[in-house]
Amino acid sequence: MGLTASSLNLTQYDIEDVQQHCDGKFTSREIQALYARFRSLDKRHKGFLTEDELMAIPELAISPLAPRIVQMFQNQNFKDFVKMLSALSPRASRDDRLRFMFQCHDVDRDGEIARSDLETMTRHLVGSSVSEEDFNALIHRAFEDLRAMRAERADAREGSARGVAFDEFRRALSAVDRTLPTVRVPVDDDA
Amino acid sequence: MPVDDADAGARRSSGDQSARTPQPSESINRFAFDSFGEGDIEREQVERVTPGIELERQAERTRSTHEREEVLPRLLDCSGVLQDACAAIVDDSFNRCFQEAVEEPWNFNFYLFPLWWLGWLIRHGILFPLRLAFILSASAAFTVSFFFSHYVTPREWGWERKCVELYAAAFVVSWTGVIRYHGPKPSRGGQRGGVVYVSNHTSMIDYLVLTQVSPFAVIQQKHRGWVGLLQRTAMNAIDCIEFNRTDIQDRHKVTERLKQHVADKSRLPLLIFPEGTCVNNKYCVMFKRGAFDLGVDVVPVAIKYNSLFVDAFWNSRRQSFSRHLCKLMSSWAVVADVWYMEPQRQREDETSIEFAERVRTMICKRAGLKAVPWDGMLKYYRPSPRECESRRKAFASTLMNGLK
Repeated sequence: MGLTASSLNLTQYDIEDVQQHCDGKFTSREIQALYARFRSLDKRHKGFLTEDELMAIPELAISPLAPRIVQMFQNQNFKDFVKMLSALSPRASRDDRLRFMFQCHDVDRDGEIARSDLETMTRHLVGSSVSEEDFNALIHRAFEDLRAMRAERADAREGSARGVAFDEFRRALSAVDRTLPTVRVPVDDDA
Repeated sequence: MPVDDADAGARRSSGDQSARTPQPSESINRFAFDSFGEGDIEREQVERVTPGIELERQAERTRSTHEREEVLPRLLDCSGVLQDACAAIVDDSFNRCFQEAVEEPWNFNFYLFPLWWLGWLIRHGILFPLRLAFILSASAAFTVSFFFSHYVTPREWGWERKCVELYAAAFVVSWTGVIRYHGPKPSRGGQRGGVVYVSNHTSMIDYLVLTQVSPFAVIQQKHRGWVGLLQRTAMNAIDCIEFNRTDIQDRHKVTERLKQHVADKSRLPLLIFPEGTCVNNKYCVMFKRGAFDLGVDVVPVAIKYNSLFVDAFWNSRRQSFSRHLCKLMSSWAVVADVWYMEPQRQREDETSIEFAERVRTMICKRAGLKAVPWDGMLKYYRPSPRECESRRKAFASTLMNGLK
């Protein structure tokens, strides 16, 4: 099994392995291209990407969500890196994409977007351009909306589940009828 | 000497920005054209429209039709930001276009190792000093002969041009340039002016490689040091146009001078590197419109360096030009192919952007480069934290509107 950092090229076996791991969301050529990319980012060929290496991508570093995205992608081996990205492949379903976005919001990874998660994410997204009162009002309104949505469906969840669960997340975004993020892997002819 | 950028004339009418419909499949394409017209001279800070921003704007347009708006979906929907961030993980323009090739020594086994060291010693111990001595004496000879021709001989004799041409040839010799020229070379006597040569850009040595065949006038970024000195003296004498990339006033002047230059047939043919920056000779970034707005024929020139001995890419932010030359002089040879292609004229049904794109495609195909929809200016105007802040502001303001 050659998916250590030392292997220069992927064997057919490796590629199939990775493909299986990401449910065939990427073609073998895309996986090869991703591997080349991964290796070029992984400066010392450790087999995973560190925070610094990810932040060295200028166009990522300027993203408002850079800290969170880096958190999601750092210290992952190639297989998991591809698995993570596969949610955004052109072949991924809307649900896959939504789940990726949900994961992104779920900062503490407890399966629901709690108030603290939403606060962290919103801070990233709006920066310092919103006053403290407005910020609190926003979060408050968001949870009011959540309550309203639950009341509408008359399935008021128990007190234990306070955050946004995935199906609620999906429902909330069902109104957002538009293209969700898609990542295209550039397949080089010389790859 | 050389050479950069002629985006001076590039100005995008903001009208066509909203004219196209934002089909998802088209958004990539639009992004290309948006970043294309970057030379919006009035604004110094260039606005980049990424696919993610495009997504957000699109959302904003559809949103305004709704009556009541919930805050929760808005807070949860960060797809525009995610789009750009994740796309950057998979691929980013900077690493693609401006990264030097890592030189991997081929001394990895026991019988190659002594050979490699022998080669290294010859290159650095023998070839380099010889070449350095050669180029220094050529420089001395050039200085003397240039001042003579500049102050003594009349301009019509064209001795200055000859000096520059020979000096360029001396440079090419100093790195044992093995340059194969294909296609009809620019004529020396007859047609001058009234035509623009455009080429892909890898290093300032592009200019030397082309000028040793026939001298060109070139649009160039101002440099400092000995390069700047050459620019202010020799290059100016042969009608090169220099400007400062970051100075808006300069850009205006360049547009005017470009027009004057091509109108005057007695001047040297104009050479423009519409990429506006050095790219690593594997990719080709978007062309600036300046060269294609002049209403004259455009001769595409494709330059492909063979990376077998040395990577000819000049990473101007990491290396001074002198160091770059030293690197070239301590390699075995600089091998390159130059193709002069069929002159192109703007078609009637074609905008200058489309014309530029067509010429770019020709050059890429000929030189085996990959055309990428990125703007070379990103090398200088690094995506700044300001861009991040402005994005946050935009996000916040739509949110606050939703609150009211």
